[in-house]
This record gives sequence, C-alpha cells and structure tokens, in this order.
Amino acid sequence: MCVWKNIIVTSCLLITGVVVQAEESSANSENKHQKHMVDMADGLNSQQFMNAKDPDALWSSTMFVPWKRTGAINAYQDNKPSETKGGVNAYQDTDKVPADNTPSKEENLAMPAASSSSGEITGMVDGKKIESDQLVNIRVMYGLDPEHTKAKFTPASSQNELFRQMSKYCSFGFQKVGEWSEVVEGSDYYLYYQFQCIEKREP
Amino acid sequence: MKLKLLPLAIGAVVVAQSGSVLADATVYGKLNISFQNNNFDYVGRPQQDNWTLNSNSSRLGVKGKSKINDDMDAVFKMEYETYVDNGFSSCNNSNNTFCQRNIYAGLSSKTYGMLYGGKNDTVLKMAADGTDMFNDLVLGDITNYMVGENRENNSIIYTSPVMAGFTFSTSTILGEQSGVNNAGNQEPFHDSIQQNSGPFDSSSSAIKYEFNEKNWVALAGDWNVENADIIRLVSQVSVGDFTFDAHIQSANNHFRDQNANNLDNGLGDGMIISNGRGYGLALNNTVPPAGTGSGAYYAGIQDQDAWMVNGKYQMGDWAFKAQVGESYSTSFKPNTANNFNNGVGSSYEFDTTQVAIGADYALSKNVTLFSYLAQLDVDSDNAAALVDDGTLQTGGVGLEIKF
Repeated sequence: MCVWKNIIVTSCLLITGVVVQAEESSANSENKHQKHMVDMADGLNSQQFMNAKDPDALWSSTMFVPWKRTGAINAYQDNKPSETKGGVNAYQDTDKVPADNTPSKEENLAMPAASSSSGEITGMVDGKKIESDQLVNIRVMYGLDPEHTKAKFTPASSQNELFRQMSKYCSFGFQKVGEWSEVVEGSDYYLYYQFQCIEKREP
Repeated sequence: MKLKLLPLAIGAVVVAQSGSVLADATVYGKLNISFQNNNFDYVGRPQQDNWTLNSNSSRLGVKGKSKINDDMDAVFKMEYETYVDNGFSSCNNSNNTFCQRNIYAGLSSKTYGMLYGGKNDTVLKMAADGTDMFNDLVLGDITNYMVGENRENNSIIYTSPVMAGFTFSTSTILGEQSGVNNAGNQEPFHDSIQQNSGPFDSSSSAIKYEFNEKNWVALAGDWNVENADIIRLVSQVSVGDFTFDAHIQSANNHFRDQNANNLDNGLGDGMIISNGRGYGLALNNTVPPAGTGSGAYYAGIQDQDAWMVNGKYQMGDWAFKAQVGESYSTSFKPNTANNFNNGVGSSYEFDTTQVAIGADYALSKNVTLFSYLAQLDVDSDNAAALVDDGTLQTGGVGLEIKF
C-alpha cells in the first residue's frame, strides 16, 4: 500500500482529535436527517438502541399508553409546546405547580382564531399549523375537594371544557385517543385529553 | 380510520384481552430496493452486463424490554432480512422468506451495562457502524474488499454504559467444536479442532470515544474471528453540513502455519473477504460455498491492509457523498494441501480499490431516493490462474423506506 494513502487516512483520523466541538448541522432540514431506530440497531451502543423511541416505528407497545406515545404535541398556552421525547411527555416544569405554589385557575389553550372548512386542525401551535394526523395533548386542572382547590373545574366540568377545546380545534370532528390524570398538588389534578381531528366524510 | 389510529385500536384490544400492560416492544425496519445496471468485466471470464432489481439488506426487526427493577431490564432483539426483489434468501441455501440477522436476548443495567447472547455482528463490525456511506449496496459496501465484516453465531457480548464519552464492548464467540461446519467455513474456527472448544478462543472487542454524537473515534480488534486477527481504527467527524469518515485496518491470518490445517476443501484456511455479499473478487478455481452468493467469494487471504475514507455534504434535503477505499491482500503460498496451486509456486498479491459516488434526496424523514455509481478494480500479481483481474462497475437508483 502506498505510503501517501496511509498518510491521508491517518490524517483524517487525527482530525477527530482536533475537531471536538464541531458545529451542528443547519436546522432547516434536521427532522429528515434524524437517526432512525433501524440505523441504531447495528451500532456499538446497544443500550442506546434498546432505549430509543421512534415515533415513526411501525408498531410499538408504547402506542397503548397515551402519555408514552411519541410525536404528540402538548398544546398548552402558558408554556412553549414541545413534542414528546423518549416516551415521556416533555412537560416543562412551569407547566406544573409554579415555585410559589400558585397555579393558575384555568389552563388557557391557544385557541384557533377561526374555523375553516379544510377538515384539518385549525389550531396553531408554536406558530405552525397542526397537521391533520397530528396527536395533540390538551389539559385542564380540576379539584376533587371544593374547599381546598386552586382549580376552576370539577372533574365533570373539566371534561366539558376539554370537549369545548377539541371542538374549537377541529372543523369536522375529533377522536379522543387518550385520557389520563396527573396529580398537581393535594387533591388538584390535571386532566389530559389526547385527540386527533377527523377528516370530512364524503356523503 | 387513519393509519396512526389503527395500531392504537389494535393495542386497545390486546390490552383489554390480556388484562395487563405488555412488555415494551417495538417493530422497526426498512425496505431498500435499487434498479441498476451492472458491468462486471473479469479477465478470462464472460463479461456480465445486465440490469437488476436488488433488495439491499431490507429487514424487519422486533426489539423489546421487560423491566426487572429500576436498574435492570431483560432485553431482546430479533431482526430478519427479507428479500424484496425475489423473496429468495441466500443465507442458508434455501428459499426462506426471512434470513436471520442479529438476534439476541440479554440483560441491560443502567449501572453495569448490557450483557447479551445470540447471533450478532462482531463488536469490530459494530464499531464501524454508520461509517460506510454505501453500506449494503452492490459494489458499495466495504465488505466487498475488506475482511472483518462478520456476523457470528454463538456470540456473548458485553457493552458498557457510556462513561465520560467512552463505551467499551467485548465478546466471546463460541466455536462449539461439535457444531463446526468445516466444509462450509461458516464458523469462526475453521478447521482447527484443537482450538474451537474453549469459552474464550475467539473474541472481538472495541473501545469508542464520543466527543459528541457526530464526532467519535473507535479502536476495535478481532482475535481469531473467521480465521483473522484484525486491528481497526475508525473515526467520524462532522463539521457543519459536512461529514467525514475514515477507516484503516490491518488483518493477519490467525493460523500462521497453513500446513497445520491440512486443508482439502479448496477454500484454504485464510480470512474471507466476503460472507455473502461480495461481488468483485473470486478465485476462479474455487466454488463459492453454499450461501455466499453468486461467484463472489474470496478465501485464502493471509494478510490484508485496508483503508477507506468518505465524505458527505448535506444540502437541505439533498446529500452528496463520495467514498474511496483500498485493500491490499497477500495469499497463502499455494501448495497441494490448500489447492491454491497456481503453477507458480509462490504466494500472490492483489490490490482492490473502490470508488463510489452518490446523491440522496430525502422525500421525508422516512423515505429517501438515492442514486449511486460504484467501481471496484481488482489487480493481482503472480496469480493469473487464481484471481480474476477485473473492473466491476454498477450504477443505480433506489428507494429506501424506514419504519
């Protein structure tokens, strides 16, 4: 083997030792170039592969558990919506009880300005229109003890509120695909709905 | 019903019927097909010029884990190759729909790492994962000219957690003396009965350091795997929209004394350059063993040095890439025992170079259109009767769908 070829290869390897903080790729198409689970499968880090969650996987048992589903958007007005990662909803701390323990009485959802006839979700999250097949998480706080609650809603009225919100998001109806409650403080809970808009049915 | 809701509905039914939450399991995989023109021009053999539809390591996998305690899970993976083009599996000389790829079961601890056993890529091969930009493609995959790209039965593998950027992995591969198929050269301990019965006769190890996800270096080694002792250094560097990989390795035959093995099967006792996917290299006086593809096999390598470098430029949804590589191999000295009798009476050498270029276009996160051109040149010395000199070219367009 020619010496110069060895030099080229060795030089390339040494670059690693120099470029330790390379800048990340531009973000304009980052989503399309994320590493897939199938690409991790043959790698050395088998634990990373085992723990990886891919919202585009053909099938996953986490699909049974609404709060573990990947790819759902948390549509909460009081903090930046974020896509769930790693099977656990990436709720921000501010989304729970504030440091001063004074949670708001009402979860104000980013309601759509007006409905359309497109059959798609009409709401906007983080300035982007939600795709028609997008899973969306919404929530309101409710209290079980009327005497000691910071929530505006009861268990019954919180459901009414969430149905009202879903109807605002979808022009032609919706399907609720998940529901769960998460304790906030004392006897106060968040009631979560996970839903998806349905498309216009042909007559 | 929308596609995304179907698995949810199925899941709801399954959970309702079972009355319990299932283990964490995921189905994943990819389909990769290409339509291409091949021009394989060997010296002394009929030229091959044809159009083919190829399935390039399309696969279906299931992985899962079941929680034991807060630190430990039982884990499993079952991955099978499927043949989109014609449904024929070449892995075991039968027409099975699926061919076993990596399959294992084991335990994974957040604290101590993961220990698993099964049929799996060697640690050395895994250490280089992702660096071959034309992986799985005809004439593109480095397995066409490098030794060490092996998947072994009876592997027990340990992989450490990532600690300060370091990951360590090691394995032992059991020869299972009674199960060795000497004629087929399918086991890591070919023809060496005295060395194939111990628990640690063959191993593959690697240590990897990640500066970050896109910048890393790995040092790996095989010891007596497919008759080879290999040391391999691999690195990947990303700068902005550019990605570069480099790969260099040196391999020596584990059994230095060829006569000790007294071979008579025509394959020699050397390292194999391909185990099922090689296209370019062939001994014209040997018949490829069952399950190794169409005349694309080279055995009998005593020593080999190899390198590969490549680069990719990501421009939005487009990716442009190029790769060059070379292996320089020396054969055993021919004798009547190993059937490498070329009439010259001395060992021979051959040099294989690869050049490949390609362009990918991402239609979505899951779907990619690709095109590529690849060429292998084989140039041998002192081996006119044994190794086919030749130039092999291919070009194709393809579609890859990941799920």
